[in-house]
Amino acid sequence: MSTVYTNSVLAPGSEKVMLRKSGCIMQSQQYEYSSVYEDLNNNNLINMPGVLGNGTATITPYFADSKILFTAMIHCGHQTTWRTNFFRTFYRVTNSGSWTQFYGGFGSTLYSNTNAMAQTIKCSYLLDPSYSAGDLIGFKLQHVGHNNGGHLHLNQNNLSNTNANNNVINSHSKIYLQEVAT
Amino acid sequence: MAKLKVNGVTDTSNNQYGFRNGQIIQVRNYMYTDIYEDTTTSERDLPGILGNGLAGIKTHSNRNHIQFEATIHAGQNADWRCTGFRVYWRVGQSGSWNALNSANFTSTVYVAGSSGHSRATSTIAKFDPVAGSSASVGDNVYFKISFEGHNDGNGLHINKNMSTNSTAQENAYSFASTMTLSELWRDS
Repeated sequence: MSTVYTNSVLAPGSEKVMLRKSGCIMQSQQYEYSSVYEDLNNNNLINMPGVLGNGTATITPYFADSKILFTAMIHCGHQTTWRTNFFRTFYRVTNSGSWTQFYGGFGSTLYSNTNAMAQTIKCSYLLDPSYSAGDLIGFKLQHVGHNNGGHLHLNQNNLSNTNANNNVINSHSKIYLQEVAT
Repeated sequence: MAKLKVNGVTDTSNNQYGFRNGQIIQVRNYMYTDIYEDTTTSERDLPGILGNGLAGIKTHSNRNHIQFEATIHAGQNADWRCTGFRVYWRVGQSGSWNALNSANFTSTVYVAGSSGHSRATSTIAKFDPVAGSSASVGDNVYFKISFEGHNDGNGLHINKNMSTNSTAQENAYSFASTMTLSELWRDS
């Protein structure tokens, strides 16, 4: 096998550099949940619904030494008088691996005597999980509400004073995963 | 210096080292730094580059995807403001607007009896501009954001912020509401 040494590898025509660089985002994966979902319990730890909590939000890194930029975007709705929701973040390597909680949690608080306020929370964390080439890495979110106002109104939003289960803005809560080259 | 030009780079195990699915190969950023206030409750476009439909990106291939990101600094006058933001895209300046619901987002700021408060809210989404459209190589894909306020707390105050209890139009901390467009490579 011969070996070629070069200072740059370029694409024909555009002459763009084709090799990865440290910090380069190598791929992006998006998993969305757009239905309105409510959990009308306080201080109740549950997996988030659908792809946000069932472990099917995954990424398979191209390289075994990449990091993962994890982004969660949650659209929290509200009913009078206030709601405080907390979210925990987990990952696992392969579908049969055990879940590991990581420091990526976040919270949302809404307070008003009017129904149907809403806010978007988006948080990103750079993870350095240990895995092997070809491994799939899964992610999930768990939710727990405050004991005195912890109902979850995921993707619920209205433009009038109502607690109807509408998503009039058509917001999509999601897990967004990106491979970052090292 | 000689240049080596190839269509792909692989190692001895046939692992590819060139562009890969999902890799970011281009980034465009647009920002709006003025203060803008509006008290209407019906859906309207955001001001300036955020809503005039001129924020665009020209992809290198009609196979590629686009990642949309936006951050809006939503200010407030007492007591509260709640706003929904919708995102739209189109191919070229004469095409019709398509909804990018995946990127829609909301903001609420509530402080009783006090003005000048602010919150940053942001969003991210990726999508295929070719699906459902006639996008082709070299086409510009344009974006805009609209807003609609809650009936009982309407009022948009973009980039308005100050450290005193005032409704004055100040951007005391030099906020910039932004839109960032990235091109994601796809092999096929």
